[in-house]
Amino acid sequence: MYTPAPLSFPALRGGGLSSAPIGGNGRNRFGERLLGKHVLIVEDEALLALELELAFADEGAEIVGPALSLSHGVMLVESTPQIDCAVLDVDLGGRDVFPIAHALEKRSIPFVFHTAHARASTLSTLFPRSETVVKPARPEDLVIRLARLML
Amino acid sequence: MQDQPSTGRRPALRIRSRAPVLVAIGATLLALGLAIGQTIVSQRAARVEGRASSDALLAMHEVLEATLDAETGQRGYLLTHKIAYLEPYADARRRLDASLKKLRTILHATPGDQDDRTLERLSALIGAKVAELDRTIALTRAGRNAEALALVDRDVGKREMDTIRIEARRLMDQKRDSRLTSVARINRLEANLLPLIGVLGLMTLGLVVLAMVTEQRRAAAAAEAEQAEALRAANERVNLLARELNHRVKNLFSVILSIVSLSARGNAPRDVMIEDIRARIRALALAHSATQGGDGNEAIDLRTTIAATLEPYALNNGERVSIAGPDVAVPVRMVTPIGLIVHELATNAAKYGAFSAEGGKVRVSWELVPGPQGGALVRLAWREEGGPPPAVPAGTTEASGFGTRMIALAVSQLGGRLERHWPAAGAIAHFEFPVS
Repeated sequence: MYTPAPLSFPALRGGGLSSAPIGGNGRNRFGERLLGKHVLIVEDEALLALELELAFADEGAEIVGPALSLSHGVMLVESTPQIDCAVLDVDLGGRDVFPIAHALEKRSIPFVFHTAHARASTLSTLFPRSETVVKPARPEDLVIRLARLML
Repeated sequence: MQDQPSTGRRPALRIRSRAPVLVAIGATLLALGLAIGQTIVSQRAARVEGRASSDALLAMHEVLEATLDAETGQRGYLLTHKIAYLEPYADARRRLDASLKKLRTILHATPGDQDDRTLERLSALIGAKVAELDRTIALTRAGRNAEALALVDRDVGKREMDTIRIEARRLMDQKRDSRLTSVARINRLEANLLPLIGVLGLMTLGLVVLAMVTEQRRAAAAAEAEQAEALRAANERVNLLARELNHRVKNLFSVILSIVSLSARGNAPRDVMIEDIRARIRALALAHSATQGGDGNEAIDLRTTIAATLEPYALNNGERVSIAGPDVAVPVRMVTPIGLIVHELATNAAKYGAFSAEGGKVRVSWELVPGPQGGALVRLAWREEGGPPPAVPAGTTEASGFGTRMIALAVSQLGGRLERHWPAAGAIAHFEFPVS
């Protein structure tokens, strides 16, 4: 049931980043729930995407993506059989992430909205089972929220 | 967070309805017009009546005169037997017939029982008088003058004439009275007419003033409404810009936080790490220096963005950097990834490439070509020269791995492609991305 994930960084495969991230593993007990889980990251800002990718990789998650556009995200959801949870930036270059959110909901995959717009009420009306984290947030917070959703 | 836009429009200047006033003025004007028309009609009728009375008076006078003339002619003939007296007599008889006919016509035109009876009596009396005159003249002609004179002597003719005078005078008095009445009526109507016309003039003046005031107020209200609309539009624009700026600032904060935490990864010494963070944040600031406080569709000049990002490496009027390409406007959301890509390429050049050697140079050039799905594609080339032979940064160091990964993601964010080559002459990067 539990298979220890190799302490490698899928996002940096071939990149050769050493496995000694600052502020590393074991910070919180929620992080363990993400070990080996497939986490979809949708974020149109490259640096944020990379930061999230590394943060989740630190927790031992397998990263799906990151998708930097709506079309890439939709394509990933359609073509990836295993997705356990997701982080969704809401505004993707002026387009809403909602098609991806609907697709995830249909598959009962929990997800967290990660947005600079404080529209939590709107989002929770549209997607009652979703959670919202307002940007700028610490990646650790996102990890905790996502881990909680995996309960 | 979002300022509530002051949408409360100021209530436009209300124009009170003037309909009741207008209806009242219209009704008064109508009544005035009717009164004036009525007065003029009455005046005209009174004038006609007065003229008829005058005509009747004149005709009566003529009748009386002709009767007297006829009598004078008869007397002359009876006394002198001169046939010459019969001429004025015949003339008077003709005039008498004519004037009597005229009188009858006039009196019939203005019907009245009194007039008719008077006229009948007068006609009868005059008929009798004329018959008496004719008879005496006929007797004289037949040589029976004495008989004729005897007839005259019997005073029948005188009595008849007196009666005619009385009747004629009564009719003439009556007609004179009626003419005076008519004139008095005309004067009275005329006196009424003047104030009516005065009131009409005042009402018209009032109407004109009312119309002017109403028009002025309407124009003022329209101007105020226009001003309010302009103000509202300006407010809306300011709010939109504020929201956009707010969004942009938050986004930049997120990016800066990412730069810090990403740069903090790895085992670089503290001072190197801090220098990396500073350089990246500075590159970001420089790339954004060209952006204004525009809306989300603000377009930024590509050359300005690239030149600003490379500015720390340019040295002495940019002798180490050459930038050439057509004018291209890129949306503001592309500035961060473009700035990051250019910065990472420049950092690489500074560590291992052209910027690391004296006399090294980087040439950045681009062209605008039609995109595969419509739109346009920027095809950019980064060429280093004059530096040491480049080593392929095959992910052997953390720094290069991180940089490579970040460039790949930034290129992906732009929806573009990037290829890098490391020939001996200097590193080359081919980079293309769509712009709409």
